[in-house]
Amino acid sequence: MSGTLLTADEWVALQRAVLLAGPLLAAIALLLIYRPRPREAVAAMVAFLWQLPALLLLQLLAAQFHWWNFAGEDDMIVGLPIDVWIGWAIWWGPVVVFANRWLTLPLLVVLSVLIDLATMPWLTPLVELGPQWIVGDAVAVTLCLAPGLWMARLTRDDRSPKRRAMFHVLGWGGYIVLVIPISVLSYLGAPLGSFYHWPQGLLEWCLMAIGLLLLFVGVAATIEFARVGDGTPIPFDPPKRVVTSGPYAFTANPMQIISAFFMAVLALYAQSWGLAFIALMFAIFDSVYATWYNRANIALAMPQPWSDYRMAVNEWRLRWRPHIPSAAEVTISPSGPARTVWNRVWPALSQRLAGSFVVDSQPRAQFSRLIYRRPDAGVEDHGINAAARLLEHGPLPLAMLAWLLRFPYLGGAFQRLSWLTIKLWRCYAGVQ
Amino acid sequence: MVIVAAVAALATRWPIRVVDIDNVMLRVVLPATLAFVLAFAPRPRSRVGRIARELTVLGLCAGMFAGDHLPLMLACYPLLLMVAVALGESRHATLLWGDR
Repeated sequence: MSGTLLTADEWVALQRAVLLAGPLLAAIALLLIYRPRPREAVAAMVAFLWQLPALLLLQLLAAQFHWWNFAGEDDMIVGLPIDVWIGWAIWWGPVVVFANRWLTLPLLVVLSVLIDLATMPWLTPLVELGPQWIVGDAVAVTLCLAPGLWMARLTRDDRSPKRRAMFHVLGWGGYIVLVIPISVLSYLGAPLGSFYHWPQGLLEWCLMAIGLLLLFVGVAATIEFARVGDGTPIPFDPPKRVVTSGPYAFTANPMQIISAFFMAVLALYAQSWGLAFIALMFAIFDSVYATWYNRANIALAMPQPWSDYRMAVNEWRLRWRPHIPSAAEVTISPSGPARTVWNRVWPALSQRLAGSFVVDSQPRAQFSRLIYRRPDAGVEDHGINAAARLLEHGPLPLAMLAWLLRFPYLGGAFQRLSWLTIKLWRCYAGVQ
Repeated sequence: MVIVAAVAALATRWPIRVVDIDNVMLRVVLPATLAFVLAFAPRPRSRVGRIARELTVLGLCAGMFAGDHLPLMLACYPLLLMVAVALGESRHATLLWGDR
């Protein structure tokens, strides 16, 4: 086929062009037919944004396990043609999301798999398939298509903000540790090993520790958006209220600050001027556009809460102690191990905490051992999470410990651990 | 303007060989399509949003001529947004882009 009319290089070029133009035309046609509502458009965009890092990760896995190989030399990133990458992201992003109006999600996944199975063997000379390519296709569906569609569905229906936030954390993580470094280093012709290597020496270990700390605070801030604000960090899917708790009690722009600093840390780690330039661009975006966006949108939508909050919390400076304007309602069980610990710790601890507390005690049959409430801020937590909320009234290091205690999955593990400790305490003390 | 820019960008590469068609698709047709879609997207509510949209369309038109510097232009996008905010906040912006 490739030897008759066109040379192999021409076939490759033609296939690459079609694999970009096809999805692009399909997306535009569906856009015109579908005329999406704002949330549907955001869902399509979210799916597209998910696909870019996911497909890049898939390509790294495909290269590692020899699932397939792309021909071509120009405009490639880690062996993946950029046009195929974008076309694929449009195909499994907006096109599939728009098609969801007529077809169910399982049917879309099945159809996509069938299209892959039918077309992949015919994509020579652009795609050279390895013996295990079907495994690669299954991984592609699991890693890229299905999560992207799920995330888009949740976004469209405005459901499960915690799950959406988890997807945004993973997706944004993919951008800052995969898409951006790989794209920049590939563009500059620098070896990827300058970034992807184990730390060597004290400086690199320190940079890695700082990077992980920044990521941890960024994740904590994203989760706070979802838990308290029922929204996500992306401007088109914002929280439903002004979030003033968690990291937002210390600074108004934790995620933006962290993005810029994290990029700067990556630049130092990779010793790349290109990544330093990206860090600068992040800083410009965050300090100018994000600031304007907050002022123009949040301040207009929720003027009084935003004004009150901004009077106390700076956008770019960290407070040492949190801004907590209202009294926290704390309910503690009247007896038992939690009460014993409370009686010992609270008198000394409360001296060091910011804000005021209304402490109440009720029989345990009706509630958890410890409950923390701040109705005006939309905060209510029970058990270990409630204890962590109390620590958030403390200075920054104590608050960071609290964010660790409330961290997804880790918080649940701590809760189970505390339950086990209480059980053991009861056995030891002979209490039923 | 988008169509004129796209035609001009294609003219600079004429005659287009089959082996270059992917390059043209990525560097000319894709930015042109995005610019075209963006130009007909719903009008942003804010003045800065409208300016940002128009500057983005201009940037995409310029991108068609950028060749291998297109990724660099993409990386500089925050600068364009900074200009949009600066223009939108200036007093003279109301003449061109309306009150709000």
